[in-house]
Amino acid sequence: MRPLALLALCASTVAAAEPPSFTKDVAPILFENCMSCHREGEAAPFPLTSYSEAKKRGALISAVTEARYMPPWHAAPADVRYRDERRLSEEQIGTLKAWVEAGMPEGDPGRLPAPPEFAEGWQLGEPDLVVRMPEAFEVPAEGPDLYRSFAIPLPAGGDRWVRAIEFRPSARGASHHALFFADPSGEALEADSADGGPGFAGMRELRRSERGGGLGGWAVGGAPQMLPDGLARPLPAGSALVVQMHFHPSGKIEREQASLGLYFAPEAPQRTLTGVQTPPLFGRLAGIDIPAGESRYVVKDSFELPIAVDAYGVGGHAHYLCSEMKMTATLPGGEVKTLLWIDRWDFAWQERYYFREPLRLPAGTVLETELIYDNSAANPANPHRPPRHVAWGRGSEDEMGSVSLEVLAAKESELAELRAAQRRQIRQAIANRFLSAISGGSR
Amino acid sequence: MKRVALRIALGLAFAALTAMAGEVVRLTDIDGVDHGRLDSAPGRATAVFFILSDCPISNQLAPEINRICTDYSGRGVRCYLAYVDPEVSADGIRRHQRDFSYDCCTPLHDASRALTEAAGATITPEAAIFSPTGELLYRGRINDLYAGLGKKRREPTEHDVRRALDEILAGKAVSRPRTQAIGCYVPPKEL
Repeated sequence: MRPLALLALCASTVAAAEPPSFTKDVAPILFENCMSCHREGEAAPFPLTSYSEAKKRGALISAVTEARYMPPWHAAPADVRYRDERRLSEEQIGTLKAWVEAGMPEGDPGRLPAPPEFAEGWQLGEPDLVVRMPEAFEVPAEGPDLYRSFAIPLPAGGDRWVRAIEFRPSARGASHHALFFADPSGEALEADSADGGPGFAGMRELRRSERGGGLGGWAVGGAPQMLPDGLARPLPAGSALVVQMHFHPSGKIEREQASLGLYFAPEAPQRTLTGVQTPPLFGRLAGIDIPAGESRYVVKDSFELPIAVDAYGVGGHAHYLCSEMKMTATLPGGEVKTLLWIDRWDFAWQERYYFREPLRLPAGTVLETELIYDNSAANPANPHRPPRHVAWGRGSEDEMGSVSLEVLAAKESELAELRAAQRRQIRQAIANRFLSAISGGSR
Repeated sequence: MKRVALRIALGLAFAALTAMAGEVVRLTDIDGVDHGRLDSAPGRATAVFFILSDCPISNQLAPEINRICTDYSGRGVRCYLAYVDPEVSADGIRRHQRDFSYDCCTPLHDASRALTEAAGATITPEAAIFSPTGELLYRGRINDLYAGLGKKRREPTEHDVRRALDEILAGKAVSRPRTQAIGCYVPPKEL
């Protein structure tokens, strides 16, 4: 080897062996992926905005990113890209680890990138309507996670169309996520005043979302988003706004009295956003019936799209025993696309994943969902000790399961065909349940 | 008699060794009050809980730490809370004590890390239980509320510190002297 080449080789070896520094390598990762929450006044427990703050948590940062516990993002890589993906690459995780192993050097302060700027107050600008929970709810200092719903009356007005809801919790240390629903029936306000104290227990508003009253949600770490392309969700006249919240007791009593900023579309959207849920009705007819101790109980369901649709987003729902969920789309030509794969389902993260670009699925595409449940004692999330037989139900200790794709009919005039096919699917599922019951099968 | 002599000799040798290594650990609280040496402590055992005021898992266990110390304080167990954040101030510790209703035990600021190193603690929250002569009898998790980061049980099924204390008070050997704590890491001493 010629001396010059040898020298070049040595130089590149030295460069490769140089450990990452905070200013050059680590700060860009933290600023882009962590700082929206890890800064003063936000949901994360401590800031990660400077060298000393990062050094203080270095070992923890390395451990939680390697375990993919942070940043919170539960969808495994799929055949679609999601908006606001908070998933670090293997390379980024490796950089953080190598930095900690090298003793967390700061590097040249001159190389520190400018930290991102965050808007003060409402992230989406001044809302069209701001409402607040009428009373504060006291979150106890300890105990199991808590789910509670709050009905917020809205000022009178006609039908409205919601483009976004921005959520501002007051108990930042204890509030984990919230789902929003429109309730035109008055049931939620009644339930709220009937149950002692602010809000009401349970998940009965899921019944409403089965009818399509969902208005989106919020989770720790998520940024508020406007629906794209002038889309909006209906908020019928006279509705109350229902907020279902999930709390992690934090070790001290906290008081939650959240504010919500609503952003309306000026008029009814031209196209209707609708859900395709597989299995339908949160798996009510899917025969979910999980023996105690069963560590891999699989539920499968499929639905063939009768029309072409544009898919905007996808989300799953299940309770504590679910360990894995997946939705694939098999296109008429045979190509299979994974739309959502959550390989370690965690009940605490009921998120919706929006696609970067709407995904056109032609008529004849088959959506397939697979849900896997672990009802063994080895599942730390199992609410029963020892494990018990679990069937479908609305209680959080029962099970459910489905994956929902949010779609627009490619031609609005064909929407009725999609809905008719969904009704047929439900009728078929009822018939199957009936047949299996009379033939003596448990499923 | 022979055994006693042997014990005394061993004890002296141990004291001499630790003194030689400069490892005498004194328990000094945030007001500067000296609570004596870790290796010549009164009572049956000294329990130290290593915590960080901004570690969520550490804070979630605050009510249980309070209860453990209250339950065992009448039985010869002394309890201390060791704050391991090098930057926390005495006022910051007092505020954290009020916020989380800590009324069980004396808070210490282990800025020198002498206590953390004596216990070999690396996580918050992590518990260490010492004998009156400073021997480490238990180190690890308080209970198994967390099976891993982000893997919280509905309620704990193993109460490791309580079991260790019960065994010590019954004059038995600690059956599981080391367990893996789950939580935040003890930060570097210098930032």
